[in-house]
Amino acid sequence: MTNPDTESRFFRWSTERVLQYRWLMLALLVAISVAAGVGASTSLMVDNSTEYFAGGDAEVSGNLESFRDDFGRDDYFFVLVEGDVFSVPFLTQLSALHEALEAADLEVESLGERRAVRQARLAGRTLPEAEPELDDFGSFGEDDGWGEEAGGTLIEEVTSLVNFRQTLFEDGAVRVHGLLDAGIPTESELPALKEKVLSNPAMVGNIIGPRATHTVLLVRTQFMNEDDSARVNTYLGELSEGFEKPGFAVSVTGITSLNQSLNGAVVKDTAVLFSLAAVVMGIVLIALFRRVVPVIAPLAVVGLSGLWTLGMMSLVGAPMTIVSSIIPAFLVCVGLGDSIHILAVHRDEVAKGVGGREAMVRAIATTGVPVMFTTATTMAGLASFKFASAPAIQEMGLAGAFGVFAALVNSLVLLPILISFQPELPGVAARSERPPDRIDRFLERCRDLSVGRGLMPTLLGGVLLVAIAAGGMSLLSVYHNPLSWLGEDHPTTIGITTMDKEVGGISSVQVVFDTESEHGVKDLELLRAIEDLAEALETYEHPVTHERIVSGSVSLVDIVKETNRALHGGDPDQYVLPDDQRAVSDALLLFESAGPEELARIATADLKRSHLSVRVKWMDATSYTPFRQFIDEQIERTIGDKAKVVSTGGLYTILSVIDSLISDLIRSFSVAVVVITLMMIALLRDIKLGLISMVPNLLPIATILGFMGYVGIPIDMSNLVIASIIIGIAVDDTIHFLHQYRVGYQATGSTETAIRLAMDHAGRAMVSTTAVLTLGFSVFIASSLGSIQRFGLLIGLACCVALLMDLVLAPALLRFFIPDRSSQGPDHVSS
Amino acid sequence: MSLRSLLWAALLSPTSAIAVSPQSTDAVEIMRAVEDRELGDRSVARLEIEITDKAGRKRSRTVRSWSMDFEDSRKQLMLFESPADVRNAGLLSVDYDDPARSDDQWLYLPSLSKTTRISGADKSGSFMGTDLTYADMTRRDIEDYEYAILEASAEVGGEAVWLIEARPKTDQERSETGYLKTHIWVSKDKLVPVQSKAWVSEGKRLKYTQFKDIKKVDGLWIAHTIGVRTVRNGQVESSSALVFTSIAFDQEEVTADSFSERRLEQGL
Repeated sequence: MTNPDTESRFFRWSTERVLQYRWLMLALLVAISVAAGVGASTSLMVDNSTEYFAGGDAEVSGNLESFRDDFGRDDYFFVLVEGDVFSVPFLTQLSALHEALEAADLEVESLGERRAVRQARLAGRTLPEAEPELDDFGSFGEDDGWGEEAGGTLIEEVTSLVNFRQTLFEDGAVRVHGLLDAGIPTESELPALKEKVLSNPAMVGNIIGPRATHTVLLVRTQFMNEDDSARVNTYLGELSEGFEKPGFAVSVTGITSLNQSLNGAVVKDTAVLFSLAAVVMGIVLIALFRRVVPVIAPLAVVGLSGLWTLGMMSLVGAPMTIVSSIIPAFLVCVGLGDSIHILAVHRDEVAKGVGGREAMVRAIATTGVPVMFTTATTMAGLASFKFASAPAIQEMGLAGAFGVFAALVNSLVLLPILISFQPELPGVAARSERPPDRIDRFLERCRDLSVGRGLMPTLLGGVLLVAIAAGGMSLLSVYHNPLSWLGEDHPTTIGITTMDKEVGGISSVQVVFDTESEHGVKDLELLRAIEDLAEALETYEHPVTHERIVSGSVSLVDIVKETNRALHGGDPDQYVLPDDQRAVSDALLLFESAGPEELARIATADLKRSHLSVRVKWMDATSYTPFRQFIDEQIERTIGDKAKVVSTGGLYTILSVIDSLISDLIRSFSVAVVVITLMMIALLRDIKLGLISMVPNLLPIATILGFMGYVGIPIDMSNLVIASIIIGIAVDDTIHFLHQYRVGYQATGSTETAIRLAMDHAGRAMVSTTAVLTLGFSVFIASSLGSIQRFGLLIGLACCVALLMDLVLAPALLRFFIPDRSSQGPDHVSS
Repeated sequence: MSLRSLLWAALLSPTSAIAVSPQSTDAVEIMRAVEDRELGDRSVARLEIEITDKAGRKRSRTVRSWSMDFEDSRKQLMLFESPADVRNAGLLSVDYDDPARSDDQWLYLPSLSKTTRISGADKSGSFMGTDLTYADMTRRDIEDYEYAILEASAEVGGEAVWLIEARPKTDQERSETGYLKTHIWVSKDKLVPVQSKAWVSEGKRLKYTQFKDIKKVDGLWIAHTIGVRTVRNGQVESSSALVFTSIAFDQEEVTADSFSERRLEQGL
């Protein structure tokens, strides 16, 4: 017994085949799930580094990689120590800690591995051979490892008060040594040491704060992947803790600590949010169906879909990020919608006395098309992130789209199979036979709002809402501060803010000078310009807080000045750039022999390129924007055409993130709107109806963005995806509503009758799915990251607004724009 | 034995070597033969140095060098010929035979118009920015090392060699040289090292050295090209090539006066 008017022949056929071969299908689904589970548990990475978020900007990434090719890592692990720095016990303990850090060793599998190389490998690209052409070493010189000998590969360099470079003139000779090479000073020597250190601009703001209550050991390691960086961070933390004692408080901080904290939160959140969402959904399903299998089956659908998605991410090398951590819970909420729509019809069919298998075949044959379209529109919303610039956003979009597709497949295959194991359901009262409940009364009120006298106020209300939302949207700000996601009391936040306040920033700007001529970086005029630039940057004040944000800088200029002073008998007045070019060349010749490794970190071997390294305090990324403009202006003023200048480093990476946020939002959202509009026109087979359908989809987004503007929630990396996700979700209800409307309108020609039919057939499921989504997204409040909490609440709110738009504004628009072609007219519609 | 004595031996190995049977498996005997030979004296050389960083960028310089043995030391004068901006900068070094005595070094920088003494405390420091250290360039006492034959019949580039391992006996030697141990491939025919691999304690680096283009000059086997490559975790960090474009011994122009401050300041 089929109904060709409302049923899809394809979905009838496919469901019959699925049920016919249910064991084979089940085995196939289990096999895919096992493979996905193994992949996800063994090779899924977590990566929340700013560098990864900014990876889509080829110029920014290229500049950073070029810098690393020439000068190595641009970041440190900061081991921050608090206490009375200039005391014998403190310096003694500091010296012991320094030695232990230098000897620190940990088996690190990815040691030497560069992110760019890894990403290129995953993308199937090959990078230019980094290894220089050398003399004919043949197989000799191929590193076959260090063998069984002990040593330390992990630590490249530790810089602290213990070994801070001093090029001095002592005992009639120029001597290069570490600050405490001669041992821990005596009590009587401490005042002189303190004065020497605190008057040295290369040390203050770099390894010690002006108050001398904190000092830091800068630990530079080789390149490694994120997971190993986190392990090293933990290891250094544990190692340092062993040196803690009264008056010597140690903590490890820096970008890696931040990334590790974020990664930890993401891993925890993914599991917690997924579990909570599943529990909430389970409760909702129990309330709706009051049977075991109809509760378990949808959860199995979304569970497997989530697992497949994680498996796919591990397969393509896409890591979990703060953005993609929402995917499993998102899939639970969104994927469940398909099952609820199918099960609602299945229940009605059973209530009509249709047999179990046929009831499911009819349910899918009836709902298959709208379910497929809702999936396609949600996928379109998510896949639109392919047009974002940040890989983290792109991959989240594609993974989410895959997950939604997996949920469709499982809804159409796994769900009917599992339900087929359900013993025949007892008859449930058909809708017409039971008294109206709250949902019915709610739907009736919604309908009343757009009928007769209610029509124009509802339409005007819609226009007013748009105006109010536009006002709020104009107040939207852009902000990116991963530290704020953790909260002020988080140890990582405390560590980084203490570091900023008491010593110097953890972020950096690297200004690279390329003279394109051998020995060009020795040019005195260029060095004078760099000195001028460094001075300007160091005195820059934040335009709002008027605080200095640069804690110090290092360049070839400092090396030349220091060496010049030493060559002039240590005369402090000679801590200047020499007057003539020859003296600069001579100073660098001396330094080259004394510290070739230090020189290599600041200038290339051919002396064509060097850099100015500027340590910058932590701020939200938007606050860096005026600083970047200032840097550009000062480079233009000081360097001019003396060298080609490129700025890179951690801060520039963050800035590229902020630069791309709004354009990403607009670009991906525009794509989503266009694609979804076309889909709606295709589904409804009516351009006018398709365009009308977009109004209730776009208004919730405007409302939420306006709300964010009014309450001061800024656009950041974690909520950038909100608009496209809302449209992807909101459109589902619209599709169900308008699909039923179109069926009714085609049958009767009456707008009013069609609206009532749509309310009756889709209204309850729309209310149910909205309740499910709102409840589901409300579990995000359990996230350990504030940004995710807000994200869940905003989506939940958007779902409610979207429901109201579909039930109130959409009918009003239909009544206003779609002519009634029935012979009876609207006044004769039976109620 | 460290790389330093290898370089010394490779650069300045007379042919009148102490005879060692190619069948010998006595590592100490072999290394003594390599080490304890009369070294060439009153040498004049011109050395081209090329330093390459990990990105493959290079810089070059040319140095003229004079050296001579004295009663208690060996003195060497090096003057920069190029690049032009450091021409006539010079280094005078005195390597005392007494290992307990720190070496002396004086630097002349034309811009200062005076000679400055440089502290010689850190001999593991780089030699002119190359992968070699000052310690590599000075002779060491064979008694400071333990030797072992690893392969009695190896071959490098068609040349029969011994592969010998040298380990410093003392922490002081290990610390001064920076090497945990060294593998040396010694030519059985020429009794000079042809290549070596040193385990650098700092940063678990490996330093590979090749002595190439070994030809007789004034009766001495001379490696005219020395290639050094520093490797860490499979990545080449830097490399240096030192090429002797000319070298001669027993030159009359080399006298005690060649190693004075005045000569240093005189330049090329």
